[in-house]
Amino acid sequence: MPALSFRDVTLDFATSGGPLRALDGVSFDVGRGRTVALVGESGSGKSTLALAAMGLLPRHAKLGGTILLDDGKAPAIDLARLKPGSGAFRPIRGGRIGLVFQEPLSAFSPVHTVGRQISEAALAHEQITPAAARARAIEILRLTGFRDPERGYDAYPFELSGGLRQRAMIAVALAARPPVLIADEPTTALDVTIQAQILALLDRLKGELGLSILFITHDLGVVAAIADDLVVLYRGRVMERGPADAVFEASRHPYFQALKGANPGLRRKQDRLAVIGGESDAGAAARYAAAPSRHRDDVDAGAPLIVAENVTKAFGTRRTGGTGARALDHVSLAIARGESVGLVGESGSGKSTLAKVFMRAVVPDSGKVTFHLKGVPRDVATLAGDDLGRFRRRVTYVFQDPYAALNPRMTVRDTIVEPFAIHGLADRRGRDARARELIDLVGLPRSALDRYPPSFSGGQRQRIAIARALALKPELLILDEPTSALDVSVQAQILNLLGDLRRELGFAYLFISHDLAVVEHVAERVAVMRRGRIVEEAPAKRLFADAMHPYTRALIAAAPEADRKTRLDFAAVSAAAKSDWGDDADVRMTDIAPGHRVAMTVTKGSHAAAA
Amino acid sequence: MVPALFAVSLLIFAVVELPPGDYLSNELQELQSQGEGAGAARIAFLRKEFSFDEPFLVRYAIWVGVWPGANGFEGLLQGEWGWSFQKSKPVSEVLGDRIGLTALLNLATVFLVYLIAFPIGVAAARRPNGVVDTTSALLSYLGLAIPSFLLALILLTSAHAWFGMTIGGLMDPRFENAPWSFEKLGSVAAHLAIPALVIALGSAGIMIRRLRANLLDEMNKPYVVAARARGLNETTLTMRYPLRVAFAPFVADIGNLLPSMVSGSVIVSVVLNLQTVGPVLLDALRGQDTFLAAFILFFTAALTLVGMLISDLILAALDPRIRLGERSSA
Repeated sequence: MPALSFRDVTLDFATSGGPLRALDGVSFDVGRGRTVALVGESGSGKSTLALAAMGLLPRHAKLGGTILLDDGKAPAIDLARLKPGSGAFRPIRGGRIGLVFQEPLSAFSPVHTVGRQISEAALAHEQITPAAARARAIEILRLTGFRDPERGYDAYPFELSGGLRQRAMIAVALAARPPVLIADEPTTALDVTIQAQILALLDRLKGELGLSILFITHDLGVVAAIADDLVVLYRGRVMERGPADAVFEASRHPYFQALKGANPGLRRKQDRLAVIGGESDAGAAARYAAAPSRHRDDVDAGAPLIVAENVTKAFGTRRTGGTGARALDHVSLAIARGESVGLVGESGSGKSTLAKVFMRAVVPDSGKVTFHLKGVPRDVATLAGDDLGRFRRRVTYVFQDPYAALNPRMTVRDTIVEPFAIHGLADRRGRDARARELIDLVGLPRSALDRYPPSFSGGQRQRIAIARALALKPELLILDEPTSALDVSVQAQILNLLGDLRRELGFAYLFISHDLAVVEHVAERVAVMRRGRIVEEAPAKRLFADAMHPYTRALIAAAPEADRKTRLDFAAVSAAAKSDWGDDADVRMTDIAPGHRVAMTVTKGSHAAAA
Repeated sequence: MVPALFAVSLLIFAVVELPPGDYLSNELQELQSQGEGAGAARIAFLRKEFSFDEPFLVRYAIWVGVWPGANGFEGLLQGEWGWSFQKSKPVSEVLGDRIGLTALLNLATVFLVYLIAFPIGVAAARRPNGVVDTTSALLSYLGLAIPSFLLALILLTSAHAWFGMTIGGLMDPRFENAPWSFEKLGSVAAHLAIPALVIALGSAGIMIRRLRANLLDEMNKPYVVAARARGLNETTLTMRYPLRVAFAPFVADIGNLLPSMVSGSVIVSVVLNLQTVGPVLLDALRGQDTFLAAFILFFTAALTLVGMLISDLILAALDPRIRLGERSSA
C-alpha cells in the first residue's frame, strides 16, 4: 500500500496565451518506507508536483487527477480535491507531509530563531504546551545530528553553517512527525562533503522513523546513492519509472541514457560528453583562429603565462581590521601558456578570491603575481597605463551566473563587442564582423545578435558570456563555476564547447568549480583548495587515481557517482570526514612526484602527510 | 550623535545668516526712512548686546555658548535659546507652549498614520485586487492628490456650516492663556483630532501603498512558503513572518517623519490657526529673526537625530542580523 500515489496528475497554468500544461498524466507511487527519487531538469515540473501535493500552487494553476495520501496516520485523502486556500490543507502540511527546501537560508525566516520555527511546526499540529514543543524541537535537532541541540535551538539561521542549516530545515519538516517527507533538491546548494552527510542523514532517518521519502533532484549521482525507486520526468511527463537498480541497469529510454551520458562522472574515460540537442559549429573556431590577431606572441606552449607566488589576502570587518579570516594563505599557483588548470574547493575555500587576484580585481596583502606580457615577466601589481590595458585584454573572465552577468538592456551584439569599444579597437564595421564570427564560434544563430539576453536560456546566455570573454582573443580565460547554474545536459554542451574552443584557439584557462567530475573532465592539472590553502596539486589523471591528501580523498569519496555499483558509500564518507585535515598545523607544500605537490605537516624535522 | 549635532548647528547658523543684512540693519533702514532717530540708539545697543559686529564664527560660538558674549556665556549649552527681535521676547517665551503642542500634534499624527495604514495595508496585501485593496487604493490616491490645506479648509467650512463647530486652533480660545487644567486638556484633545487627521491622511495613503507592496513582495519569499508548508494558518503566518520584515522600512522612516511634520504642516497650521512651531518658523525666516529661526531649525534637527536613534533601536530589536551582526562576523 503506497503512502502517496499520483494518478494521471495533470496541471495547467492559465496564461495570457492560453493554458500551459506543466504536468501531463503523471502516475507513480511512493511506497511506505521507501525513497523515491524524482529526477528531471529545470522546467520538467518536478518541483511543481511537490507544491501540488502540499497545496501550495499559485492560484491560477488548475490541477487534475488524484494524489492519494494513505500514510496510516489518518484516513486516506485525495489531495488533488482539497482546496489549496482552505483550512483543510493545514493538517496535511507539516502534519502528514513534511517539506524540505533547497535553500535553507532563504526558507528560514532570518529574524526568528531556528528553534522557534521548529517548535512552531509542532504547535501548529498538536495540542502540546510550548515547553513540550521546545523539548520536542531539541530532541529532533539531536536526531538530525546537532551536537549541541540546546544551543542550536537558540541560534539564528545565519549563525549556522550551510550543512547545519539544512539539518535544521529537516528538523522543521519532521517536527510534527509526518510519515511522508518531500525533499526538493535538499542538497543542491551544498558542498559535496556536506551533501554526502545530509544524504546519509536522510537515509538513517528513513530507517529510524519509517519515513516514506519523495526525493526531488536533477543529479543522477545523488539518485544512485539514495533512491529505492526512480521516476524520470521530462517536460511534465513520466519517461521512466521503476526500482532504481533495474532502471540504472537496463533503462531503454533514450532520455535517461542521455542524462547519464551528459553526467561527467569521475574516472570515466570520455572525450566528449553526450549532448541532448544543439552543438556548436567546429568550423567557426577554425575561421576565427585564422583571423589576424593583434597580439599573439610566438612563444612555446608550456612557457609560464601567469604565476602567483605566496599570495595572502585577508578580509576583515571594520571592527576586526585586516586580521579577519584569511581568504588566501600563502597560495602559489602557476598557469602555463595554453594549459587548462582546474581549481577545486568547497564554498569559502578562497578559489574565487584567487581568481580575482589573478585578474587584479583583488590586490593581495602580500605575495606577487607575475604575468608574462610579450614574453617579459611583469609584476601585475605595478602594471599601469597601456600595459595594464594590454594585460586586461589578455586575461578575461566568465561569471557563474549568466543571468546576472549580462545587461538585460543591451543587445547581444552590443554585449559581445563591448570589449572592442572599451579598448577602442576596430571600427563599427570591423566590430560587426567580429560579432558575427563570435556568435558562430559559440554555436548560436546570427539572428541572436539583435535580441536581448532575457530571451535566452541559461545555457545560451553562458554562450554569449563566453563569446564576450573571447572577443579580444585572451591568453587566459578565467571561468568561475561557469556551469553550476545550468542543467547537466546544458552543462555538457558548454563543457564540450570550451574544450573545442581551447583546442582551436589555444588559450589557457583556469576553471573553478566545486564539482570534481567537471574539473576532471576539463582540466589537465588540478589544484585542490581548502580554507585559503592549496592542499594538493597534480596532473588530473594522477590526482584522481592517486590522491594523497586526506581532504582530496574525502572530496573524491563524497562525490556521488551516477552508477548503482559505485554509488556513494555513506560509511566511507563519514570515515573520511572524521580524519584530521591539518587545519592549524604548520604545513608546507612538498613535491612527491613530478608535478604532484601535497601539503604536509612539518613534525620535528621530518615530513608526514597531514593525516 | 553629539558631533552630528554640532555639525548641524554650524550648518543651520550659516544658512540662516546667508541672506545679506540682518534683522537689526533692516529695521535701522526702515526707521531711517521714516525719519526716526530715536530708535537708532536702541538698535546700536542691541547690536552690541548681541555681538552683531563680531565675525561669523564668533557669533556662532556665542550662540552655541562656547564663547562669552556681551553678558558672559549665554548659549544653547547654557539653556539660553536666544532673543526674538520680531516679538521682542526671549525665544523660549515665543515658543513656550507651542513646542509641547507641536510635539503632541505630531505624536497624534504619527500614531494616527500607523493606526490607519497598518490594518488597511495588511488587509490589502492579504487579498490583492480584492475589495479592500481597490477601495483603499482609490482612497489613498485621493488622499495623496488633495492638498492637505485644501482638505483642512473643506473640513473647516463644512464643520462650521453643518455642526456649528469651530475646529480652528488647538484649543478653545478661552483657554489660550489659561494655565493647564483638565478642561484645557480636554479641549486640546477635541481640537487635535481634525488637524491630526488632515495631516495624517496624505502620509497614511503613501504608507498603505508601500506597506502593501512590501508585504506582497515578502509573501512569496521561500521562508513564507516554508512557514505555510509547516501548517501555520494564514493570519498567524502573516503577522509573524512577512509583516515583521515588511515593517522595517517604516521603522527606519520614523527619523524622517518627526521633523517633516514640523515643517511640513506649516500651511495646514496657518489655515487652521494651530499654535504650532511651523508658522513661527516661517515668520522668523522671512523677517531674518536669526536666533528664533536658528533655534527652531536646530530643534528640528535634534528631533531628526532622536528619531533616527529610536528607529535604529527598534530595528535592532526587530532584526537579529543587525543586533548580532558584529558578533557573528567577529
